[in-house]
Amino acid sequence: MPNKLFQIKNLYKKFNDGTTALNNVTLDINEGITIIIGPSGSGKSTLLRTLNLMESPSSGEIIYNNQVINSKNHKVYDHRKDVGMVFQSFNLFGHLTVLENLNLAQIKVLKIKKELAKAQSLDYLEKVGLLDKANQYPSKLSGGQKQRIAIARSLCMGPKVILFDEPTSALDPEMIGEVLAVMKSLANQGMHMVIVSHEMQFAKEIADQIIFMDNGEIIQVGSATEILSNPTKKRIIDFLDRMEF
Amino acid sequence: MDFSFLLDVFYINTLIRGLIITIVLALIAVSLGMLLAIVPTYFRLSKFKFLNIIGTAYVEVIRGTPLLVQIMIIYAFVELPVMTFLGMDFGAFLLGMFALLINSSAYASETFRAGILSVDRGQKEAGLSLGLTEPQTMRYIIMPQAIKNIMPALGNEFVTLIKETSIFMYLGIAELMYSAQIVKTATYQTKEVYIVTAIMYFILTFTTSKLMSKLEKRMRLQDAK
Repeated sequence: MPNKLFQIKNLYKKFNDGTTALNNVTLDINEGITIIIGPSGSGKSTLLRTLNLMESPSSGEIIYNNQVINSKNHKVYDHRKDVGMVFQSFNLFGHLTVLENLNLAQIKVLKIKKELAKAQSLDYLEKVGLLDKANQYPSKLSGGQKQRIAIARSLCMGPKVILFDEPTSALDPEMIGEVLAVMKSLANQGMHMVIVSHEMQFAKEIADQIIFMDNGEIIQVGSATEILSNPTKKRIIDFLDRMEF
Repeated sequence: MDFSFLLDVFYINTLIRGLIITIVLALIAVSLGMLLAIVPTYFRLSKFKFLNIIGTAYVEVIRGTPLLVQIMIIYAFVELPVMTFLGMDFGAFLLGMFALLINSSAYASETFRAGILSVDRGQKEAGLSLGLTEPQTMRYIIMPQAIKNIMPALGNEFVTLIKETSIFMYLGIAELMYSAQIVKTATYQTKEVYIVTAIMYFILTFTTSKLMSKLEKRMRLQDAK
């Protein structure tokens, strides 16, 4: 049995406008690579965003490292050091250079000396192949480059898990490959990842666990073979058919 | 038209001294006013409804009533003894400045609020996701970008304040408008004195807005680098 990363129990999320984004979600997210798929509006992103408390659940429990992270006395800022996040729209800080983007949280959150932070930032920039962009401002970069920088920025915090919220959905097709390549190499180095994605081929190649969601509910959890290659549930078959063309 | 008073050292000195006091008043009002504006801005963006209401009420009432009326109300309530300082009544100056600060803080807070809301929500989320606290996110990520966005509006604010300082005339503070009165009474050149005064105000506000747009351009260039 693989180790459990997150244990989610009876999770509900109702938004202020009355919509229910998560409807009694109970599941274990294992270590390794988990990919969440499903139609838009199915609650995938909301589920992902509860894992680092960008979204606070209405009720239910999320357990990480034997602690209920959505309890009142849990230190949310400490949790976020452990659980990084990469966004669909990159969200690089526009007023800072690439290097400053990477340094900021290391200095302010991890309290690392500036020189050390800089060395570490450059190290990660090299890993995502963008060392030459260190002194550029984000506005000068392509979407693919921005997303690789965003990944490097998250890595700088030394997270155990990185959450990816549709990391390639805002990219031009020719830039998707470079971002997926970085993610694959992270997976090979043993980084745990939870990814909301529409890249089915990528999911097939890389996923240890696939979660299919619809209408705020978990429809099925299984391996890539079970869910993508030999789907049995009608809703999943319909969804995959629509994705094909 | 007789502009000969411009050749008189006493009159021209009086007007220039008035101009300098106007500049000083505007600088004090704009800098302290912006500092003071942090409070209502914080209230208005707060999650707590109670603070929200107080902040909104403050801004709406101050913006919805004339500065002159505000000053008169403060004057009617607070009486300070006459304290002469640099040839003016310091008590009157304090009260007038207090009113101007309240006024400018309400306007600046509205600008701040708009500036902060103009920064994409993703920026805040990215900051938080890296483990920064809310105040850190505000300070290192939101504010620097918000300030860039509100530079033009703050420039307008500054120009408006320069003009508003003319209200100090009623308080016996020898700013430009008061000085103009002195020169007018002494020379009887009513039209000419006011025309000259208007030109002096215009030079001041025009220079200010040019300087502000230069500053804004420089910030933008930095951004595009």
